Amino acid sequence: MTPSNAIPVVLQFSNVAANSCLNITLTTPGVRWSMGRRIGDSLGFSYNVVAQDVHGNVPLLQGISFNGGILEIRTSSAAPALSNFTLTLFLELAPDVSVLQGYCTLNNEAMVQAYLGSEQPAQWYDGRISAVLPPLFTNCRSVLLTISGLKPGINLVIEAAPGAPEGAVNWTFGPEFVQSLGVALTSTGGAIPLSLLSYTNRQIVLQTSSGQGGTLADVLMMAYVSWEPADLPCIYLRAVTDPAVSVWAQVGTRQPQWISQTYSVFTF
Amino acid sequence: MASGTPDDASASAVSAAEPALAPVATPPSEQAADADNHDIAMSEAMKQHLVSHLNEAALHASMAENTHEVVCKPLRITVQNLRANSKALVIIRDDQRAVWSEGDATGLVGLSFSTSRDPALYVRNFLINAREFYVQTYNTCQEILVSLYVRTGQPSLRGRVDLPPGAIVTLQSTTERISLVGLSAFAIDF
Repeated sequence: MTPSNAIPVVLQFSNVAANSCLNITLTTPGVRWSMGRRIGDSLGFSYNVVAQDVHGNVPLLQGISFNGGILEIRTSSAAPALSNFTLTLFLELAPDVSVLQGYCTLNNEAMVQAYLGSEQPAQWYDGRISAVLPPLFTNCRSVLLTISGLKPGINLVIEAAPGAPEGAVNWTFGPEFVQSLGVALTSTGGAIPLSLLSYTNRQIVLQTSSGQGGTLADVLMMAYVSWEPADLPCIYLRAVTDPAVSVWAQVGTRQPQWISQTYSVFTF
Repeated sequence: MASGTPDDASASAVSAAEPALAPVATPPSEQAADADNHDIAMSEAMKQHLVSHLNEAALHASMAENTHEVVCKPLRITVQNLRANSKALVIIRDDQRAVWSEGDATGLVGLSFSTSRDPALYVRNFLINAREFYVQTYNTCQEILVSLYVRTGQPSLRGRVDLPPGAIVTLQSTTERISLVGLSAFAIDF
């Protein structure tokens, strides 16, 4: 199989029970789990490689394996009653596959948010599962920004620049299809602590409301970049803000990286 | 998002550089070589930074042209005595025509992470892509077992491990076994 028909998958597991066996089995012919074929700073098959230790350090896994359409996870008897974690991997698809079906074996409380490509997440519970697979787009990448250390009255500007003098990079709303995920903003603390969000081709501006108080909740933002020419190898990102604020970016399926006040390099 | 971008990029680089001469069936090795020479506007530092990215197209092309049949060969990696808050790294060397793989066979277990001696895998995170594999711990791990495949036409594999003091990595193929400590290079026959 060629690498071009592999789509990246992020699985966010929540409320997974201790001491149990879970699996996600895909029964559609021509669909299989994969670790991807990419080198360098690709995410490949990973467990909890996120910008911050949002899941904490708890004993959770006893074993994990996948082959063909079966992804199997054994949780430890030492794990907390219910826990959360994140996996990334890929789905390799035969050329004519447009949907997938299968089943999950999970505990009743457990839920899996499955992000397939740049599509809105599918929620999978115990029982039958399915998803319509997103089309492939080559000149657009998601940028997951994780912003922490926010305080009241802070102005944050995130700028993108092309990785070659003749290129161009724009912040966009992502690939245009019906179920596209688009730009999204969430917070780890419930309320999003912002007074302003401005999203333009050239820059993203965030402002927190002025006032008293300590560190605010972290903000997660899903943004997209598009570029030309098509063979542009990389982009530069920088975050102009208070030094106390740290911004992590994950571009496409590359590993997350801290953005500094000067340009940091992100390959596609 | 397209995982095939490097291949696409090298193909378009060829056609942009020499539109009249670009045959549809340019051998993959030439495409990769042209992609390396193409972008003169790039600074040396940038090329250096992106070398892994460009190698990706060359790697897949060279694997395809290998004279031996490319097959998945089983390998078991055992990490023992990995202390808390440390990282164990196993990397395939750049000049190898080989990648980590989950295998081609059907069945239940292709790529697996497990432990039989600890109550749980005390890993903060782990990651495996085509060339690199690492685990990071938050507690002392007596044992981490990784079963995977190496997709290659070569009879052997060369690589590198990077381990904290006290940790041991054992690689076992169907015929050979090797144990490593510290920052070490290895070669193992299949």
